[in-house]
Amino acid sequence: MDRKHRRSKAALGINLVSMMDIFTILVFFLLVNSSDGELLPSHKSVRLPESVSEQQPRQTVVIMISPDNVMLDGQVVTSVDRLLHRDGSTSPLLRAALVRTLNAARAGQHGATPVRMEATIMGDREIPYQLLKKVMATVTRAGYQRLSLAVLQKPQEGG
Amino acid sequence: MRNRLVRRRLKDQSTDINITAFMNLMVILVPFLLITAVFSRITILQLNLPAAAGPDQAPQKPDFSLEITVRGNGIEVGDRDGGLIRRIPMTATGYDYEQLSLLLRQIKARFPDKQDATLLLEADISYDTLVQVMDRVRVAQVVVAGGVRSAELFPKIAIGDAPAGVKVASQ
Repeated sequence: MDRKHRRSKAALGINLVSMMDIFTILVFFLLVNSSDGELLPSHKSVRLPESVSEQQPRQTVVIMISPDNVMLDGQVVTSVDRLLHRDGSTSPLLRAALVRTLNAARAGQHGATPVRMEATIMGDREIPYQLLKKVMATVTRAGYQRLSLAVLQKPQEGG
Repeated sequence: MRNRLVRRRLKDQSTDINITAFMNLMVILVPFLLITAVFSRITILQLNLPAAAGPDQAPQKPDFSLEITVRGNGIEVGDRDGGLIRRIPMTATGYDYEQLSLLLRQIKARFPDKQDATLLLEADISYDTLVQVMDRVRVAQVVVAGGVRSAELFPKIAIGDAPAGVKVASQ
C-alpha cells in the first residue's frame, strides 16, 4: 500500500528541470535578439538582395517594389506593368502619393528644423534597373533628399 | 521516530519550489518571442540624391573618374575621359565579381584618395546585380592574417544609365 502510493506520487511529479533550463535560455536569447526591433515591414513577395552593408535602417517612408506591384507604406499605388510600359521617366501616381506623404509629414511637424525626408526602397531582386530608375527618379522629383536601398544582411563568412 | 519523520517531511517540502507560475510565464513568453523574433536582419545602402531643383555643386575637375558599366554581357571598368581600363566578361555562373573586386582594389591602390565612383547600368540589369556590384565597389573583402576584413574602396557611388555603347564582341 505504502509502496504503491509512493510510486504514483513519483509518476505525477514530472521532472521539469531540463525543460526549465531550455526555456530560460531560449527566453533570454530571444529577448536579446528581438531588442533591436523591426523597423521595416517585410513582404512575402519581395525577396531582397543580399549585401554586406552594415548600416542600420531608419524609420522612413517605404516604397516596396514586388514583381507585380509598387507599394507605398503597404498600399498598392501602381502596377509594375503599367510603370514599365509608360513613357516618361517618372510615375505620376507614385509621385502624387509621395507628395501627399511629404505634405502630411510637414503638416505634422513641430519645431524649426526642417524635415529631412527620406525614403527607403525595398525592391525584389529580380526587378530590372529600368524600373528602379523610374522609381528613384520619381522619389527625387517628389522632393525627397535621401534615398536608401533595403538589403538583407549577408551572413558573415569565416572570421 | 515519529518526530524524525515529521522533520523529514518538512525538509522535503521546503526544497520543492512551486514553479507553476514561472512555467506559465515561460510558456507564454517563448511563443510570443519566437513569433516576433527577426532572423533576417535588414540593412540599408544609402544613396545621396542631388536636390531636384537646387543647383548642382560646381564639379571640380577630377583627374580620374571611375566608371563601372554593367552590361548584359559583362562589366566594363573605365575612366570617363581615359576610356576603358578593362572589360570583365561574364563567366558561366554570371558576372565575375571576384575579378571586379580584384581590379578595383588595384585601382584603389593607385588612387588611394579616390572616394567616388559612377555605376552605369543597362536598362534590363536586375536589382540584385546592381546591389552585388555596389557591394564590390564599396568594400573589398580582404583576407588578413586568416580573418576576412573589409577594406573601403569607393563608398560614394553615383548611379546612372549606361550609354548605348558599342557591343564589344567576346574577346
